[in-house]
Amino acid sequence: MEFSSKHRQPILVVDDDPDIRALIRDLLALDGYTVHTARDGREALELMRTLDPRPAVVFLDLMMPDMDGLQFRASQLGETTLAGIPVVVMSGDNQGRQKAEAMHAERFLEKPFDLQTLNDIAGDYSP
Amino acid sequence: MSEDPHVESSEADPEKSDSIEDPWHDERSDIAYLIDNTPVILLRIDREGRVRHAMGAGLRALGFEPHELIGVRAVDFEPLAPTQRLLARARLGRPFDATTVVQSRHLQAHVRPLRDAKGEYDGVSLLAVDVSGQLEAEDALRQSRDELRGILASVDEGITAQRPDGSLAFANEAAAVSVGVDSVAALLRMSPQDLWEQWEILDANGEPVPPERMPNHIALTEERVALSLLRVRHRNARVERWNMLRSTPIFDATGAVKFAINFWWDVTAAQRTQQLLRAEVETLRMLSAPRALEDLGPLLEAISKAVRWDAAVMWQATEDGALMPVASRFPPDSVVPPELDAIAAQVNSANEAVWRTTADGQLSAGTFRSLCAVPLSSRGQSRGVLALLTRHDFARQPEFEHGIRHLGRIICGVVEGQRTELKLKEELTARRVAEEASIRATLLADVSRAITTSFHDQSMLLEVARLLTVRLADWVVVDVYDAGATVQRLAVVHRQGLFASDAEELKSIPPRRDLRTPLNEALRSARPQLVSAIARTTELVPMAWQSPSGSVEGHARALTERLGAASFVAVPLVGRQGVLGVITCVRSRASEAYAATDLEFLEDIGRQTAVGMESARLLDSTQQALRARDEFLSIASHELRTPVTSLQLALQALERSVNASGSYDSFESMLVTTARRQLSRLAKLLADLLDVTRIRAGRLVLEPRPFDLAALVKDVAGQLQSDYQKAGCDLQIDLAGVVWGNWDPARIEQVVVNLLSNAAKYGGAKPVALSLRRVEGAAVLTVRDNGIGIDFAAQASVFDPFVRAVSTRHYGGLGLGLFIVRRIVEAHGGRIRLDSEPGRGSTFTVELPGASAGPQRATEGEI
Repeated sequence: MEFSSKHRQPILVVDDDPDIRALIRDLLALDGYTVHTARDGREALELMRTLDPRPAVVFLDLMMPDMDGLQFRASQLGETTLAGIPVVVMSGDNQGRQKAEAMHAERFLEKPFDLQTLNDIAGDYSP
Repeated sequence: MSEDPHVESSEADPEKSDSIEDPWHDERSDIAYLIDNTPVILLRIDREGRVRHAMGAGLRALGFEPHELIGVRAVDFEPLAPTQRLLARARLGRPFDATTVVQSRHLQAHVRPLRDAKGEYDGVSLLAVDVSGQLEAEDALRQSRDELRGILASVDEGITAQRPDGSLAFANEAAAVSVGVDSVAALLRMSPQDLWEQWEILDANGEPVPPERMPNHIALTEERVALSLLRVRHRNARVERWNMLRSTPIFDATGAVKFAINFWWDVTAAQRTQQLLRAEVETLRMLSAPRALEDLGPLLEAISKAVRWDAAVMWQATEDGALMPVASRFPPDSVVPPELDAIAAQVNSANEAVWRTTADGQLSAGTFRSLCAVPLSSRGQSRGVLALLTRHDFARQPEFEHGIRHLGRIICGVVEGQRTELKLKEELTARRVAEEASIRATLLADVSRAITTSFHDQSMLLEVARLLTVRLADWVVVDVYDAGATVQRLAVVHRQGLFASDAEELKSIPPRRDLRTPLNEALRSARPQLVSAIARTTELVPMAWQSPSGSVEGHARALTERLGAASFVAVPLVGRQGVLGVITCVRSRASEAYAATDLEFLEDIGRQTAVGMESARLLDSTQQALRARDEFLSIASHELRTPVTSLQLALQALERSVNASGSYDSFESMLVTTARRQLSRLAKLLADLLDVTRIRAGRLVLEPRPFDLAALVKDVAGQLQSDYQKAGCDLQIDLAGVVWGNWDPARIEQVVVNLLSNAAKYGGAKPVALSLRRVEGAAVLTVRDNGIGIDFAAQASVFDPFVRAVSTRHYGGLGLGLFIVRRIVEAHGGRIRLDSEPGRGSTFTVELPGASAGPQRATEGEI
C-alpha cells in the first residue's frame, strides 16, 4: 500500500499484532507518512536492507515470535548501514522502559498510547 | 679335829663314857646323830661355864662346827655373849626361856639348870631353835592385814562383809557414807531391816527389787557369786544412784558360808554417760533416716527410753519466734502439766534449761513429778525446746541436764543440717529442673526458629533432627510419608560426624511396614512410643530396621549396634491433618535411657515440627499460587494492552474523523465520546494492574526530577474538576506557596489523583479539603473528606493490595489504588497515614521528605 508522501523518509512499524500494524500505518498515512510494516524482527531487517531511503524511525514492539525486538535491535546495531536508524520501543511490558533503555532505544512508548503521542513522535523523527 | 662327832658327844658325860661296854652306847649314838641333824642348837655348859657338849644342825647353820666349841667358856663365845646375863640367871638354878638374835637370826632359847646326883648345880642345858621364818611370816601377815584395812578404808566402792543372819561383820567408810550413816561403827550396828526401810531399790527398768533377789542374799543362800545393776534411791535424798552390787560367798573350814562379801560400785556417772550416749546415738541414727523430720515422735520415744524418763515433748520455733509443738510421747492416760507450753516458751526465750519438780512446788501435780526442759540451741540461739518428764521426784541433776542440753544441740544441729541439706537438695533439684527446662526451652526455641525460618518442610525436618542430636538424642532417624503415602526414610542423623557414613548407610535401608514396630505404632496411634531399654541387639529389630532380605537386616543390625542403641522413642509428627511421619530419637547409653518423663516434651517437639511442616507446605503452595497469580496478572495486563492500544488508536482516529466531518453533536460523536471515556477507564485499570505487578516484582522504578508539587496539585485538581462536579463534591484547595522536591512527577501525580478520586468517590457529596504544606523539610499533603469513612477493622488493611473497605457492588475499582499510592510514597522515602471515623469521613496524610522552597535546593534532595 502506498500513500501520497509529503515526507521524504518512510517509517517502519514492527509488531506481530496485525491490527496495531494496520492502525499505525493508516493513521500515520493520514498525516502523509510513508509507512512500512513488518511482523517480526527478521522481516523488519530484510525490509530495512532493501528500503531506500532508509526509514526515519522504527516503531518496534518487543514481544514477537521468531525474532523479538531485542534480537532485532542487536542485529540492527550490528549492521553499520542500519545502526544509525532511531528506534522507538512500544510495549505493554512490565519492564518495557528498562528494556528500551538497555537496548539504547531513542524513546519508549508505553502501550496503550494516544494517537497524538504517536503523531508527535513521528513528527520528531520525520519532519 | 678329825674325831667323829658321835664319839665327841659320847664323851659329853665323862662319868659314863669310861665304860666301852656301855649297854646304851648304840642308843646314845642314835640320839646324838638325830640331834646333830635336827635344826636346833643343843649345848651342855658346866658349872665353870665351859661348853662340855655341843650338838645340832642349828650350830652349823650359824657357821660353827660343834667340836670347836668344846671347852670354850660360854662367856668367851661371842655368839653366846648376849646370853651371858641369862646364863648368870641360870646359875641361880632357875630355868628360863629367852629370845635372842644371833647373826640376824631369831633364836628362841630354852635354858634349864642341871643337877648332879647329889642335887648340886651342875651347869645348864641350852636348847635354841631358829624362829626367824615364823617371826617373818607373822610380821608379813600383820603388815598385809594393816594394808588391806587401809585399802578397804580408802576405796570408793562400798564393801561390807555380811553374815548369814544379815548382820554386818565389816563395812568400810564408803559403805557407811553411801548408806548415809555417820560412821562405820554406826553402820555395823544397824539391822538389815533398818537398811531396807531407808532405801528403795529398783532394777534398771525401775521395778522394785525384792530382798530375795538381791545379790548379797543370793550369795548367802545360794552360795554363788551374784551381780546386779540396781537403782538405789534414798528415801529422803531425792536422788537416785546407779549401783553395781557384786556379792561373793566366803566359806569357813567346814564349807559352810561364813560371809557374803559385797562390793558396791557407784556407776551413776558411768550409767548417765552411757544413757546419754545411747540417746545421742539413737538421735543421730533416727534423724539420719530419710524423712525423719516428718515425724519426730519415734525419736522422742527413743530418747526418753534411753535416759529412762517417762515422757518427752518437743517444740520448734517458727520464723517469727513463736513456739509450735512438733511431737510428743506420753504414756497412756498421762496427766500432763498444763503449764508445759509456758515453761517451753520460757526456756526458748531465755535459751536456758529449766528443772522443775512437784516437790518444790514448781510443777503441777499429775502423772509427772520432775521435768527437765532444755533449749534446742544452735549458734547460741534457741530454735526450739525439748522437755523430758518423769514420774519420779528428782532433785536437779546438773550432769543430766547438761547431757540433755547437749542432746538438744545435736537435734538442732541435725535438724538444721538436714533442713539445709534439704534446701540444698531442693535447690539442686530446682537448678537441675531449671537447667533441664533451660535446655528444653533452648531446644524448643531453636526448633521454633528452625520451623519459622525454614520454608521447606524437609530441610526444616532435617534441622529439627540435627537440633535433637545436640541435646536430646545421640542419633535420630527421620521417616516421613511421601506424596504417595509411602513411608520414606528421609535421614539418619548422628551427633558425631564420625558415624556419618554408618548413618548414611542405615538411611538407605527402608523401614518395614508389615510388622507391629514402635515406628508403625507411632504412625498408627499418633502417640510417642517409648522403648526404655534395649537389652539385646536382636531387640533392635522392632526399631523397624528390619528388612525383607535377611542379609540387609543383619547389616542394619550391625550398623545400629555400631551407632549404639540403649533406648529410643518413636515420636510421631502429628500435624493438623494427621501424622506426617516419625522422628525416632535414640540414646546410646543405658545410663541416659529415655524415661516416660521425656515423652511429653518430645511429643511437643513432634507436634510443633509437624505443624511447622504443614505451614511450610501450605506456604509453599500459597507462594506457588501467588507466583501464578502475579504471573497471570503480568501476562494479562500485558496481553490486554495490545487490544486496548488498537482500540484506543482506532477510537481516536474515529473521533478525529467524526470531528473532521464537523458533526460534533451528532449521535456518532456522542458514542465516540462514551467509548473514549470507558476506554480510558479500562486503560487506567490496566495501568493499576501493571503497577501492582511491578511493585510485587520489586520493579517500581522512579524517575525523579525537581518540580513544584503545589503546581502539580493545582493541575490535578483541574483535571478532576469534572469528576468532582459529577460527584457533587466541593473541592477546597489550601496551598501555602511552592513546595519543591526531587520526586517522580508522574508517580506523585498518580498519588494525588488517587487520593482525590477516592475522596470524590467516597466523599458522600460533601466538601473535600486538600492542603499542602512544607513542614520541617517535608511536603505534607492532606486530603480530607467528610464521607462514609472506613471501619476501624478495615483501616489496618486499607493499604494492602486487592483490599476494599467498601462493598464491591456500590463502588467500583480493583482495590489497588491505595496499595499503589502507599508503595509510591514509600519508594520516595515518605509515608502515608489514615485517620478515619466511620460515618465521619477519612483523612489521608502523605509526607514526602526533601521538600524545599525552590528548585535549586530541591535538586539536592535525596530520593
